[in-house]
This record gives sequence, structure tokens and C-alpha cells, in this order.
Amino acid sequence: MTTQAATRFIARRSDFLEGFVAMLPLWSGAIPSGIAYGVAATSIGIGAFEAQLMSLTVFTAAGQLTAVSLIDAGSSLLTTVITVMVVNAQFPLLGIAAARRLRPTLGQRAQLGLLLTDAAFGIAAAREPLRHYVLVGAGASMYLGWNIGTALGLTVGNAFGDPRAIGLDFVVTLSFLAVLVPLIKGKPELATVVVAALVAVAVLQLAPVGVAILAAGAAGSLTGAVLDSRARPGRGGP
Amino acid sequence: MTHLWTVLALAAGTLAMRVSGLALQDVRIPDTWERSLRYVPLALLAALVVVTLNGQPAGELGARVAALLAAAAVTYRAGRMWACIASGMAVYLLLDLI
Repeated sequence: MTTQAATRFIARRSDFLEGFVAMLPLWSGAIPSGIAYGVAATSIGIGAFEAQLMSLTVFTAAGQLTAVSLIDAGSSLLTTVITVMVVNAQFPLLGIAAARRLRPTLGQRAQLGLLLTDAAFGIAAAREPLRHYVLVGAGASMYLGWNIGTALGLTVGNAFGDPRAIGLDFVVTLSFLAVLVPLIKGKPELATVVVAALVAVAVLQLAPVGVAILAAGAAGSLTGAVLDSRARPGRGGP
Repeated sequence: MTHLWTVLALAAGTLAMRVSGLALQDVRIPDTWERSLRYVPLALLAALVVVTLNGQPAGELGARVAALLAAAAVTYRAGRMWACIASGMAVYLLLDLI
């Protein structure tokens, strides 16, 4: 190894560790979410191998919990995939925001293709200048926490004979609520939630679960956007 | 029943979503779009809460809705995920016992 390459390697390693350590406090959220997901997956009869594989390859709390509830409702593969991709709607935006500042190489894009999350980006962006290996370290840290949480959840879920009999599947509903409530910061957000919930209840009477989720998502986010633009006209976005 | 294909399809789809943004680095997104997209997760989460309650028998549904309201209040105060799940499960199991 040339001196230059060695210096670069050391800089990358120290960036990676910086991101990894900065993410550790957020394990307090990642582990419980992972446990919730693991318990939920077990409670609806997804095998431990498949549930862990999902955490290893998909790596998104909201998306995976959505998949669990859709599988539980007996949705088709296509409906499940489409709905989860809508839940993933923030990923392209996150990718654009990260790539605009990092200008990643092809190999670096592949790393972020698995590890990029909003929390990791938040952690890395808080440390100027934004560096690729800080972001990768933060992402890898979250990835490890999420997968440890999943494994714990699968263990806990399997320890109960029939998790559904004691209502452990209710953990899924509660974990959606846990992510949702802190996002409510004003009237547009509250209106979004109320409209989406009402539309979901109405559409569920006549259409499959996937359709209900997408219809409620569309109606709710439109409501929020309209109220938002009225409340803050001409506000410049980032 | 196996869910392996679902898992693999979700992995491929999510990878494509992440990579698409990284490849579109020079795209400018209109303000209104970005604003609307901010509300998408919120609306979907609300829908998912409803969907996961769907199909419960009346008594069970009552207990779960009551537990959800209690957990929402706790989360609004404490803002912690584990507090939401713990308080919700506690109220729910308590109501189930009665």
C-alpha cells in the first residue's frame, strides 16, 4: 500500500467509526422497533429465516411493518410490493439530497443503496462537511441495531406459544402509532391523520386492504399539502 | 406458506427506490411536490393503524381503540417508541382481563 492509499484508508476508517458511534444513541429507538417488527412477524406466522432476511435486505422499519400487516391481511405479492414502495416514497428524495452533496461513485451508491436511511443522513449531515463514510458508518450502525432488534423480537415472539392468543399482534398497530404521533406538529398534520383514517375506514368496507391504504394515503397527503400551502404561502423549501 | 418471494421482491424494490434518488442527483423537485410528499408517511401510517384494527370482533376492537388513545396521549407527552408500545399493551391487556 502506498502512503497515499494508507492515509486515505485511515481517513475512511475514522469517518466510518465517527458515523457508527454517533448513531449508537439512536439504537434506543432501533432496537425496540426491531423487536416490535420481530414479534409482529412471528405473530402472523412469518418464519424466522424470512423475517430476519427481510431486515437484512430491505432495512426499513415502516416498510417492513407495512409488509407484515399486508401479508397478515392476505394481500397479493403485487399489492404488498406496490404499497410498501409508496411507504418508501421518501427514499428517492433522500437519495437526491445525499447525492447532490456527496457526488458518490458507483460503488459508493451501491453501499448507500442498502444503508441510506433518514436517521443516518440526519446524523451525517449534522457533521459538516457531509462525508460519505460517516454516512455509511451511521447507516451500518443502524443496520446492526435493527437486525439485533429483529433477532431479539423473533426470539421473544417464538417464546410464546401462540403470540396472537395473548394479543401480541397489537404491537404492530402500536408501533405505527409510535412513529405517527411525534410527526404531528400542527393542524395540517392532524387533518392529514384524520382524513386518512376516515378514508381508510370507508374504503375498507368495499375494497381490499392495499387499495384502502393507497386511497387513504393519497387523500390524507393531499389534505395536508393543501392546508400547508394555505398556512405558509410562498415559503421557500430547501 | 412461504414469503420468500415477497421478501426478495421487497428487497429489490427498496434497493431500486434508494438507488434511483442517488442516480437522479441533479433533478430539482418542485416545492409543492416536496411539500406534499412530506405528508405521505403520515397519511399512510394513519391508514395502517386503521387497517391493522380491521376485522377485530367488537369487544376486542373496543379494547384496542381505548388502548390506542391512551398510548397516543402517552406518546404525545413522552415521545418515546417503547413508552407508546408499553403503555398501549398495558392498557390493552388490562382491559382484556376485565
